Amino acid sequence: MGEPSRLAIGARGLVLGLGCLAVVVPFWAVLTTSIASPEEISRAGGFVLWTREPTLDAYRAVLSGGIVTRALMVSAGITVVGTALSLVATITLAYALSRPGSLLHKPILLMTVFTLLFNPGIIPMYLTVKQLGLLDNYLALILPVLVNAFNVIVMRAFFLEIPGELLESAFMDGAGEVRILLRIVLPLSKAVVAVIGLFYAVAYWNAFFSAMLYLQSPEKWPLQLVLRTYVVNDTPIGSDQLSSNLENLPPQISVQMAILVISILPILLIYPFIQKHFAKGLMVGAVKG
Amino acid sequence: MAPTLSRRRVLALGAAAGLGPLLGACGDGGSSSSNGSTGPVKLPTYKPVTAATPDLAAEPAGVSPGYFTYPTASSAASQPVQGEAVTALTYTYDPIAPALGSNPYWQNLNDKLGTELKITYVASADYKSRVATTIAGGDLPDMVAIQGVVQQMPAMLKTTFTDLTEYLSGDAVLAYPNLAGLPTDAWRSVVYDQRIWGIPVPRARIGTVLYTRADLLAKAGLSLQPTSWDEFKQMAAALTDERAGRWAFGQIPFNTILEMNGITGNWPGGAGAWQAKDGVFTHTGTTPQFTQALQDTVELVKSGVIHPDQAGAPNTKRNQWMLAGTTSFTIGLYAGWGKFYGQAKDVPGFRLTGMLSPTRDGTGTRVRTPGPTLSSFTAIAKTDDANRIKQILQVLNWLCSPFGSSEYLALRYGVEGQTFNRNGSDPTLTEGGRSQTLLPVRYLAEASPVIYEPGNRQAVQDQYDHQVAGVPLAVPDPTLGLYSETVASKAASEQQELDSVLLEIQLGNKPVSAWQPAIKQFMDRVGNKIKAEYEEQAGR
Amino acid sequence: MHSQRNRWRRDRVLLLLALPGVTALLLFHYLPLGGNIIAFQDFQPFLGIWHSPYVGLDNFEPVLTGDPVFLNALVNTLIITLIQVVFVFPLPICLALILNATISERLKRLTQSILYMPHFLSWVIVVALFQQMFGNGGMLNGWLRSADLSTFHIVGVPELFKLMITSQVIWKDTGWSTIIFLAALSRVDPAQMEAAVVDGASAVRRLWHVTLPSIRAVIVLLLILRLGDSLSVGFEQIILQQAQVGAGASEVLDTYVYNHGIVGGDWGTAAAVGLIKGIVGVALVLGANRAAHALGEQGVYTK
Repeated sequence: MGEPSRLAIGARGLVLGLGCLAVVVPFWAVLTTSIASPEEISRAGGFVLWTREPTLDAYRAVLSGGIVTRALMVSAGITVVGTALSLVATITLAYALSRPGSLLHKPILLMTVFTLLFNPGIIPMYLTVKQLGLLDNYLALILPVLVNAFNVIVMRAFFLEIPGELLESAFMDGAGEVRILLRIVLPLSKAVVAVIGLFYAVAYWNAFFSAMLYLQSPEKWPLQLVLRTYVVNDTPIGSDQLSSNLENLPPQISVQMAILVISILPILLIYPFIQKHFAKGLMVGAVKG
Repeated sequence: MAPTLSRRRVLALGAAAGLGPLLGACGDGGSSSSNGSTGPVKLPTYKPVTAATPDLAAEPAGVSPGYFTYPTASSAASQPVQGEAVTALTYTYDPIAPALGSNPYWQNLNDKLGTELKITYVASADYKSRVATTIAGGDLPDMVAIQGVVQQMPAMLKTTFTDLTEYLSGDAVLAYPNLAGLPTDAWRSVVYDQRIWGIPVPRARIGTVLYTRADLLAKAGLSLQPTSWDEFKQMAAALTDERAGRWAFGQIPFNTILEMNGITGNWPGGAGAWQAKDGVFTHTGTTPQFTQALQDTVELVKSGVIHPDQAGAPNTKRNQWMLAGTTSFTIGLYAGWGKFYGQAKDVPGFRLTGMLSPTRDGTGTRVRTPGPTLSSFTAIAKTDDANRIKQILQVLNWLCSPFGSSEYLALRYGVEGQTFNRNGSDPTLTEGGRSQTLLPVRYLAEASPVIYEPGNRQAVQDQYDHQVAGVPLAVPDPTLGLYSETVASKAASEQQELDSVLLEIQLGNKPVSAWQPAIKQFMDRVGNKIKAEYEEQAGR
Repeated sequence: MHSQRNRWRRDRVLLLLALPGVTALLLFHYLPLGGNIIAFQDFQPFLGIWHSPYVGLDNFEPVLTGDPVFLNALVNTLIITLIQVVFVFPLPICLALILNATISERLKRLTQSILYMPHFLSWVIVVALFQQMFGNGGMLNGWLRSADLSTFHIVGVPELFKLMITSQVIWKDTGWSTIIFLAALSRVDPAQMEAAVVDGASAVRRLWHVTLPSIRAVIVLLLILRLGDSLSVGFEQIILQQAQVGAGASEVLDTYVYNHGIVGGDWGTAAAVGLIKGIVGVALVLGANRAAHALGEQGVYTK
């Protein structure tokens, strides 16, 4: 690559530096608040930026009783299985739609796009899940969101960019569609598969509403739904909380921040493994190799 | 959606439309809901139950009894209930409890109760959606907690739940002594179309409290009870120091200002906004006092005594301000006392009291808006199996065992030595006990509230004093026990618009004069209809 | 060219490949979509879809009669969409280009994994953090006040509300949205880039002639989909902050449906507005796609 000017480098550095600062400071506040002592919290009346007496009480409070640990396993399971199934269904559908001029390809594509624009209400959705016998079944958290039209369309767009000659020559060699998909298209599409996989994984990881509707007992709940009970009930004080149970608990804001850290840590840890697929020139290298 | 479902629907509808008389035939002679000529239902007879003599008596009527310590000896107040498991759907305001298998508190509860209690619950924020889908899906558990009023409430109850009138009306309730101990006003809220549809989860009548940091007021040399609007404003100014980041209020004390002007009301939402005299209902929003209250509000906001981030602040934030001394007041519901004390253990000198609203000019009678009589009520899914209904009612009766009984100990604290230990006679939950007892049995049924803050005599006394002073001032809500279909359906959207005009006035985006057209539109579109509906029912 | 027979064989396999995805969409989207019939009903959950009475176009009344409260929500929605398409949409593209131009692979990865983190904070937390930092009683104004400087108000100012929520969106999602563009940029052929450098093309020319064309199709695609979603803007974000400024400045279609439909248990109204949003979305997607074709772009689907 050519020599960029110093000015350009400086400007880029400044933008990225400021951007990172704008992210790091709030996240720092989240982290310190989760480990600050109750005195510091009540003095600050909210988030703190520095703690002299770090304590893990908030984490202990959330993790004790084993509910959160169990929910973590449930969420991990749903995320892994769901992402795998979703990727298969999305890749196959996107590939079928990316082959020019194939039978029914336009109606199927339009049908897919329109699912982005019309939402079924929660009651019809619930009745469907119930009729299919999926109530209280983890599949109810996966099958209804198995295919996301946005992801299909993005993936298809990437598939379309693969040079047609590559596929044509493979057909000439007598390869079938499945073989072409597996041997040529997928290896050339690692970046988009990684991205779409990440989108699905994050969606499965964060979903709570379907679990609230379709799962009968709280002991089956995934992480986000369990954690939600610590955060959402923002009623005026004294509305109805079981007050006696809350004595000796760490301040609510510490607990909330600890929850935040617990719930995003797994995603942060996975990210570098996905990120490496964005490396430059990956596809071209594969074409040549 | 599918044939099985629609068949069930048809049956259910049939029951409501044509088969009603058959089911209603076993009702208590006097009234029947099927022919339209309904006389007033006889509310369950009130017969208070106590398992321990309170330190502070429940007087005058409506005040909760106070206990400084937990009674040492506990006796049984109910019989265990035989029979197959009972399922329930309810809500919670708390984190979830461990599953039955790893929850000794729950196991012990089932043991003592004699019936297995299978509870499903979701966060209260999600509860509405969950109930709507469950009802639409037609697969109800035995008991369902009903929160708030939905459209076509009487028809919904008739179609989906069991009419409990014959089991609970009048003296029939005495078969379930703990249910007979629930306050009459709470029962009023479970009556629709002159039938009784469930068991109320009762709440203290004292209602919304203007929580006061008594220690901060004392430090500033201020009286804990101002006697006029002028004194109130001076007090607020004295508690505000913007440069030090201190303000008097964590939100606009609008209902305090309304009460100061002699009218009740709990806005936004407009609870308590109807007043009645000689059978004529008036919406307080139409009165000159309301406009005066709006002017007072604007004046108070302008004087800068309210936290500048109060608008739209989450309640947790307001509580933090209160604990940090950033504000000296916050408005909350009654059960907040214990919660504040629990969180304030690191705040030196913390003391909480409740402030009553003075009258505007310091003379005349003070008024107070009473709180909701219940948090929710528990209805029984439609069945005509009388034995099953009786078993479920016995379970609910057991869950309503009074403070001081051995059942109450099992309900609130669990197993001694395992989920709680005694500190003197006061039970203290262990760490395990704290999470296990989060099982929201309390939102299915519970006894009338008592005042009890373990190890905090001052807190008990302060709460009791506030109730003794406040309860007699309460102006009864004339709409209690009345049902208006307009309120349940069309009015919700209009109320929303009214609230939004109120908010814009409070924020200073609109002048006070914007109120008159708004309330007129409300009255024209729904208000007058509601008035007629209430007056017609109250006249009966 | 394939023979007819080959084509049929190929397409049969393709249809088979599409089957799982299509089945899922039919079963969990189009089947329950039939439930939107409640837009024409006075729907009550206890009566169900089969037995709730039909009320014609009653639920569409605020839309058809041009209720001022509804129109205010519509106008606010469109303004916010406009602001976001103009100011928010291009940012991740710029950021992706900046990141892509960063030579050090390690620095690039580090920056990117920092910038995408805010996406994982829920709006409740984002709003709380924002208040704490920039609120009228927040840290910044607290310092200003204690230093006897004049405070500045962002929160609670109706005129600034739309800019405030836009800046929050930028903070939260710009980093995350770069991911698709980075994936697209990963396909830029280094050989082509080197050739351009050898030819002495300036950085701007290289950007214009080599880098941008490789991601243009994705940009157009995402823009069309965003336009289709014009009538939805950040529901949760706005409802959390609505009380700061009142409905006049902050009511959008989704909060309107919530405040006037869901809160009152009015399922029909919610479904009615949902239907209208869908129809408008379809028109916008088809229109935008046609425009894309006119400009020689692929768009969402080919002609």
